[in-house]
Amino acid sequence: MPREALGALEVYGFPPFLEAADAMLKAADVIPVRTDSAGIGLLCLYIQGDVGAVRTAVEAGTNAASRSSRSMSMVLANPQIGEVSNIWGAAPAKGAGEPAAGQEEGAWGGALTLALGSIQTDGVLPLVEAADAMLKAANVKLFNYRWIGLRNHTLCMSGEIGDVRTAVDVGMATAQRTSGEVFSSLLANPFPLLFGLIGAEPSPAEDGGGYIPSLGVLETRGLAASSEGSDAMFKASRVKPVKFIRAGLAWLVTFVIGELGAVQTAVEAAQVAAARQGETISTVIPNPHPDLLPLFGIEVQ
Amino acid sequence: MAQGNNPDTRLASLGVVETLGLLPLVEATDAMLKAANIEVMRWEKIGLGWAVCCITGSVGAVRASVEAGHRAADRLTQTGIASDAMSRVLGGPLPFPALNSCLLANPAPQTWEWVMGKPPSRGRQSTGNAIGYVEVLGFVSAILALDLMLKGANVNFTGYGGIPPRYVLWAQGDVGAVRTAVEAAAAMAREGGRFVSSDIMARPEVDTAETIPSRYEIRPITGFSLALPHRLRLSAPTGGGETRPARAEKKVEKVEPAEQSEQTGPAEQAED
Repeated sequence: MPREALGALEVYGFPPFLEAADAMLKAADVIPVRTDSAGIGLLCLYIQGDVGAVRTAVEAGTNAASRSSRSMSMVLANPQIGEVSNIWGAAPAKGAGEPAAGQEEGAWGGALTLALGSIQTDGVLPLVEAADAMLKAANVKLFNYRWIGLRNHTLCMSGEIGDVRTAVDVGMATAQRTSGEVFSSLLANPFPLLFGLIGAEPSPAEDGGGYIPSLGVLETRGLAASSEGSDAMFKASRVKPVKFIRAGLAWLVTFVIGELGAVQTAVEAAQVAAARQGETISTVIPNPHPDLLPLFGIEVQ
Repeated sequence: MAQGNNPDTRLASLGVVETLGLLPLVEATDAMLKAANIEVMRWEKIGLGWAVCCITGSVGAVRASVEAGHRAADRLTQTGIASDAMSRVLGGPLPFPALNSCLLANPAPQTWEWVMGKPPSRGRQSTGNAIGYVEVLGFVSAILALDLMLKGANVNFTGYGGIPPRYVLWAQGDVGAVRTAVEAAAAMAREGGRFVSSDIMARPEVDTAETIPSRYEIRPITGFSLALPHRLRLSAPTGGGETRPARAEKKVEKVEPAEQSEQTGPAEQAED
């Protein structure tokens, strides 16, 4: 099979990347080859096709990315690199513009016609707060929680356009209180192939993880602070640890659950103890949405 | 073709291009393949945004390719996107360029083995039992530092560690040789702003010598690689360590079937 031109766009931040990828795929008849990540918040989409189409697509992607972030791009008219770097992956997508089998319906239940939003924060805690606020503010499904390097954590959401718009606004407002840098994107009519490309999986079970009285989140820099904080937490009151996440750049996150008073007491004690050892942020979510915990891989029986 | 896998050409020239971010390296690799008749030995993400491409061939071909690759990568590096992302971590500008390349016309045998992802054979029978290390930033700096250590004094490369893109390179030999080697490598790394730390242990405890280099493993964060680096072993610095090399050997063997790719297969036979 003759190799056509190869184009690629590398964008900083997941939401700008989604917008750019959508613009690229819509702009011209190109085949997405694969996505890749450098591990510092830079995300890469390789496309294949006619050299003119690839050039057009890359330009469209660059424009879309430049609205909220920065990007770099390349077009190789006669690429020699394919086999060396394994850029082509297992195989190019089956047909240009065709969603993979089973993706159309079934797994997504018609979600392809819905809007797609995404949000990216510095650290897990702002994202947890934003996710809870979004779930409560609008009828959206959250999915695809990812860590994309450094302290960048992202989430996707889908639903009716009005709902997603509300969710993005609420999420941004919530996250900006605690996060240094927040990115968000909103695609009213996402390119169908996009869902498969970002590795999106259908959202977790409908009925969440059952009733959770309260959720406490402690995010610290360094293991010393995390240990001090956790120790203080468990000595202060009766809370149950449910998840421990390495959040990049030596930041560590501990999730605990329990009755509201207990979680509040524990998190206050942990904040004081952990802050002596290193940077620390913490929060208490009194009545978390049932879908919130499965999103971060937390199972509560 | 298959030049690098031929045991007779194991001292062919070595070229490495290292970039921050993937696209500069993709563009550089393409340019290198088009510039001259070279073979790509490794293409992988080493960690924290850095990616390296190692090539081999005749010295002229490698020189032409590395220059072409460096120029091609420079265009995208100039955009500064990747360095900006990194400077958010560092809290300041990146202290060295987001693009680095090197050409080793005649690499030391152990340097070659390291780049090929093989455990080092005992290059020289250096008798001393002092050990020392130099820690540098970046794969290119690590290769240059290693080559300088091996050529500058009679030392044996015994292993590496660190969390990429930081590499800790261990040398063993007489205390004077180790000191010379480590100081030379440290001085070179300092010039490029890529020095992290170095130390010399004249008489290390046997336990220290045994554990340090193998305490860390290097693996690419994600994605693909043609040849994964191996965990390397520290050859026994003193007597009474008869069982240790054997144990380390076994570990390496266990790793091989899963991690060894076709690329390194033939080179593997060269050791026999």
